[in-house]
Amino acid sequence: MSAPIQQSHPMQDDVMITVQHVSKSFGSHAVLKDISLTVRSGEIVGIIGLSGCGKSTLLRVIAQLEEPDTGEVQLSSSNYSLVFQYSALFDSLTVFENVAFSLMEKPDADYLKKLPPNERKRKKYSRSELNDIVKEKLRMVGLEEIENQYPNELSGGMKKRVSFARAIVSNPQILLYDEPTAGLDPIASTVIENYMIKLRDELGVASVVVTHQESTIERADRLILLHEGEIKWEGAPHELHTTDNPFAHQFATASVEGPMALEAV
Amino acid sequence: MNTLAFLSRISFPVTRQAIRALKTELTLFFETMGQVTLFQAQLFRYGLQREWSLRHILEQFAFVGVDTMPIALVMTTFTAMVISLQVSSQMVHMGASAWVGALVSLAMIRELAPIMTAFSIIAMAGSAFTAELSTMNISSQVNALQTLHIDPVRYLAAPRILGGTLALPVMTVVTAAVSLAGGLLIAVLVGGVTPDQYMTSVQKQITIRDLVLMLLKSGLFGLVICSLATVIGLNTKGGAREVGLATTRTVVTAFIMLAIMDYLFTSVFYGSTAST
Repeated sequence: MSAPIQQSHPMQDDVMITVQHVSKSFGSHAVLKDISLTVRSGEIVGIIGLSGCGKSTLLRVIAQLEEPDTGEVQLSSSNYSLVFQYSALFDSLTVFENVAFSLMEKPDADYLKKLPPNERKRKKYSRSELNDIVKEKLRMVGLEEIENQYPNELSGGMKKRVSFARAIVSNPQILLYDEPTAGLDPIASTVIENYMIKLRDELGVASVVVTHQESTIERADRLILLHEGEIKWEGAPHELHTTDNPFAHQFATASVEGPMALEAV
Repeated sequence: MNTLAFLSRISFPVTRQAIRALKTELTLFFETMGQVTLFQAQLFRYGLQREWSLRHILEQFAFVGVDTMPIALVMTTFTAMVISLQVSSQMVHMGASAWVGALVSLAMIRELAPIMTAFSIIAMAGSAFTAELSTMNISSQVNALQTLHIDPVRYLAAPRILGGTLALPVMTVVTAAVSLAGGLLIAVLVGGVTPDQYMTSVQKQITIRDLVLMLLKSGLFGLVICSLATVIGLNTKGGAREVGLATTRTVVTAFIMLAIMDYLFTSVFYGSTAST
């Protein structure tokens, strides 16, 4: 039995994402088991855990790329973006076209029908307006003069930053990140992390970040530790090193000994 | 007796394996056909909602037409020349040189120009569509579209299917015309048929109905090839190996489908008039 994902529901005060009792299996393998969480406006929630614990699947369920087997996901806004782990830039388009894509292309009519009437009309941007927006977003992630290049001409780190610029171009109210700083040099990582915080503080963007990176973990407001598809611990980043929770303790100390056996991954 | 026992012992597992492989292939085939049917329904819905982008359709039309035309022309023209070579000498020998043009045009316009142009499209555009879309799928580019509320069927599949469906009849007209000219060249140079005899027999044999059916058949072939290629591409999961397998699957399935469809088409439209 599958439960539909709902959008634009009136939710309690400033709650932007509500995940209720979500479970998801692939064949006989249960990847998510009865997950519930909420993310508020202006909050960065970090999802941590060993590889294969269900972090990316949870993010894909929130992003509506996977339908949960049971449970429900509610997003308070349909204006959300996902920063993909491996960039997922459109190979056949230039950097400019990639970043401006959501401003140039018309969304599906079915999607537009679900929006409130005042949001259905899409602004048509002129070429110079698009140029200004794209340049500004690229400058924000430390990239300039690469608008006419194709993704295959960029390094991995540059692709990731272009992917981030594409995600923020439509000023989303919800941002989902799948390993946003993996593979980036420390300076590029800081650029992305700083911008993540800026979006939170200035625009109240709600963010969910799947990450292994220490610096990104530290910048989250709240952490959720997943193991074998279940939430094993939840708390603030500074509590990760002081908690008695054996799962969090093992993760924080990167110890081989503990409840999270590698065989289970 | 021992040989018989040995043969039955080894043939049993081989047969079982072959039956299992056949079952898997048939399941895949019918699964793909089901997906193609669902795709057509979605395309029809988008058509009603006028959600097609003319620019994207024309881009794909140009891609299919321009990239495939040279190979399609070479294949059809040389085939017409071979037919002309074969029949010219025989017909002239029998005193029936007035029939050379009729035979070449009958073969090319009714059958070979549409099917050989379609084969070229499978080899060039069909395989390219599957390879491109399956690569986009496994590298999350299709997911990226979905997060932007853009249905990949509307944005990626529809322009390719419509572009291909429109391109194939146009290409077939060109390949049929050029191949008839190739047949004429050989009939004149080798068979000693006069150009006038050749053209008169072509005009006598080929009717408007033949031309309309040629266009209809080509359009149908284009629809099936491009639908298959995009359906298989957008449903590919895995890695580089799966991209290769998906491309092969498109080519093989499309070849089989075309052969079956060609027979059915000829049976329906020419079955009772095959002798004319």
